[in-house]
Amino acid sequence: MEKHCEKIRENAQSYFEGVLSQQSCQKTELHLKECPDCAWFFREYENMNELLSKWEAPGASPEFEENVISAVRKSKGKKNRPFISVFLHPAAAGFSALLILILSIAVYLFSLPVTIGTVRETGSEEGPALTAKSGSFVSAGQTEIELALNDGSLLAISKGSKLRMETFRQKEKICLFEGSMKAEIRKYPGQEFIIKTVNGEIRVLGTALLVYATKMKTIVSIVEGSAAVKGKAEKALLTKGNIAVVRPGSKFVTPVSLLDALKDQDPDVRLQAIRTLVEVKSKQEIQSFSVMLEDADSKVRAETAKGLYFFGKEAVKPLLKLLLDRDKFVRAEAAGSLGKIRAPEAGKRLRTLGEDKELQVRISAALALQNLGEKAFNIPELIQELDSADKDTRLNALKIAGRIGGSYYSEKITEKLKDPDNNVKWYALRALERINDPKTFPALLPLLKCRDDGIKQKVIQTLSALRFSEAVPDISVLLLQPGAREIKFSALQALGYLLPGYYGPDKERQAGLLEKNINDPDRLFKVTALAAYSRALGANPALKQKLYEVSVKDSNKIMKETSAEILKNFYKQDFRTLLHSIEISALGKLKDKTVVPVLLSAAKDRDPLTRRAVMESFGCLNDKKYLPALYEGMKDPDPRVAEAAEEAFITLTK
Amino acid sequence: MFYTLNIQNSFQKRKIMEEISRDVLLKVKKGNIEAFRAVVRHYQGFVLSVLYRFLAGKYSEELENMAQDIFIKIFSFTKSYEPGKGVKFSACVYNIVRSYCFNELRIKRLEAEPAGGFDVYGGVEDIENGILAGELLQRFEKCIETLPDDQRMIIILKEYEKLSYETIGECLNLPVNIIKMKFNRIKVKLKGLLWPYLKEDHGKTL
Repeated sequence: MEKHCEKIRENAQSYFEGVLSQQSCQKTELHLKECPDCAWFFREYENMNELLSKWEAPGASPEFEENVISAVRKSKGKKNRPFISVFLHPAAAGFSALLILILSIAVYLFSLPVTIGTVRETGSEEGPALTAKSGSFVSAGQTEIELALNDGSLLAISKGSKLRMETFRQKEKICLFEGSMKAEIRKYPGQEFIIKTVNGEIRVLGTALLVYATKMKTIVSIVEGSAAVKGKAEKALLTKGNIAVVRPGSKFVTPVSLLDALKDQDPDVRLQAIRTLVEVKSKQEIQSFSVMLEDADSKVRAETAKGLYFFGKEAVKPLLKLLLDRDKFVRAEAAGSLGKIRAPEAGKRLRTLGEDKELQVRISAALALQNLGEKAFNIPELIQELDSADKDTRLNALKIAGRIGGSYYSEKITEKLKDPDNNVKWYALRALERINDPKTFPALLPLLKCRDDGIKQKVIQTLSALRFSEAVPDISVLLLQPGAREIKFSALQALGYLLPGYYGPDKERQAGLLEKNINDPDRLFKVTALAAYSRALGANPALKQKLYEVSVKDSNKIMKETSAEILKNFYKQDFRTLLHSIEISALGKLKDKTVVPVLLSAAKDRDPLTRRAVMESFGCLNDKKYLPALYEGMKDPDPRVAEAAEEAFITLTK
Repeated sequence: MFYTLNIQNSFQKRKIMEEISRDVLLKVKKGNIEAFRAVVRHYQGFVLSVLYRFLAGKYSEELENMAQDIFIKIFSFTKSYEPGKGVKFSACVYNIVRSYCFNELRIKRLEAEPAGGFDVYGGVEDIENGILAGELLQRFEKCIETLPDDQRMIIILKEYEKLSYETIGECLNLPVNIIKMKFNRIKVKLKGLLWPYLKEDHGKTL
């Protein structure tokens, strides 16, 4: 085929469409006349076009338009359907089922009780602590309790009161309360603490306040900061030194000043006012207090007597007068306050109370005498109570006997070491530790074989506190036996304290045992053994050599630092005291919960350096359980301790 | 043996699709279904014939349903369409129809058994033996069906719907020159496929 033909044929479509220029059209036609092949091609092309044109498509049916419109209408009506139909897809259905499952698990977990803090009997920091959970009641039965919340708030709950934390979320904390308590609520920006009582609710942002709530009335008084108190309808803002009463049906809440409240008709209000005045600590109010001494209500008088200790020596005179009160509670509280004031002139009068009819008054007087540093009179009823069949009575008597002290009770308390109840045993040990009667020491040794680890540890600690050196062989046996970590730790510590006073033939061997433990793989034992070894040997060249070795060779950083620190203080006069603070700070750095009891008892150490080390250690431990100890630390007279406690507190609550 | 120029009759009937008025589109955009009637009336012939030819009359019973689906698509598309801005409405309609056809065919092919394709040459033999006119048309359709989808679409849009090369280029997203070249090539190819029929006709026209 010629090139010309090819070009002509390419134009076939345009030719038939009639879009060729006139010139090209003429050219093509001329060529077709000359070239039969191309003419043939064009003819076939035209035939094809004709054939193609025969292929007709059917038209739309008459109802087509109507059908389309109704279909469009329907589709418009089904607009929402696609969203639901998404869930009909198997994958989407599976996914949404999973989502629902996760959500319901989250809701379930959310509704589970949360740990809100720890409960302890007031005044027994080292005593057993319970964990409080949201949704269940925390109730104070026979004794006052302290509830330390995880957010740093502290609730001191009086006897016979109960509290239930409803919600404990970061933004909102709601508790139901009935009874009497002092609440120190920590302040967090934007977070509200709500105390609901039968008659109203108290909204607190960060305050110290006293609450007294019964079915008949709710009394709120503010020690520090402010709080909003809501009755049925009205809300009122209370500030420091204000008191308000909410009664059922009372529409308005009127804040009253404390001094006015002292003249209130209602003894409960007067009572609360006195309590608040003591808390507010305004010393000018002794005049108002003296008025209350002649109050008609015995409870108010008792509370006044309790609060009077706060005024110190000034209050001795009125208190002595109250010792003659006809009400037993007033007498007991007056005796207690005199004890707290430590007024030696009261000793004689307190002693006369030994003939009082009421047991409670006698106990109070005996405790007060103990506080004054005088020998207390004996209370035979306590001995009887120690033999009581009721566990709680025995416990209570033990606690009191322990506090009163004196060899009069020691024999009976020693018997209690064989009590079936572990709690009784524990308090008996504590009582013996306080009484410190050498006659009772050997009776402690059999308890080292007790099965209960808590008791075993307490015995070791007691023996060490009493410095009963004869116990060394028995305690060192525990080191060689397999047992709980706590036991071995306590034993190591005890040996450190007891070995200096031990003069048995195997003293060298016992010291060697401590030295061996310095190489223990467990760093808790390492550190403890190092401190104990240093304490046992004192300023001894052998110890210096060992310390030097450890400070250079030991793989543990804490060990190196500690031994270097001990070496630094090696020739100082108060080596053993300094050793204590070094040991405590080293133990704190371990971040080990086992050392907590040691820290708690060290928090009462005389040496401020040790106390500071304790506070720092609590910061390292990072557990909100120890907040109460930090509160105490913040009130420490030594600024170094208070500062350390403050810092630890900030890290803990963060 | 002279070739007479009575050729352009079929091309005289060329129907040029006019653009639908802006007012109507604005009404439909607001959700006026009655106004949509005008759109349906305007495009129903185009939609049905493209569907019929592209799917080669294979699914003739479903044809109107398919057309309905296309119109629903056009309706929902109109809501987001800005009349007078950018692309012409008709170009969008062609595009919707094209993509619907391609999609539909793909689905149908997936559903269908992978049976062997139509044997063109077997068909040719039958024709040579003499076949009825109706059957001939059927055979001819099958010949067209053997063309690849895009080629068939070009033939349909150009040959039957008389769209300009530019519009087809927009619709298939190809340059005008390419469309032009492709169309010429397809026609020649088609001529090769259809030669037995042309022979028959050849005698008649001569």
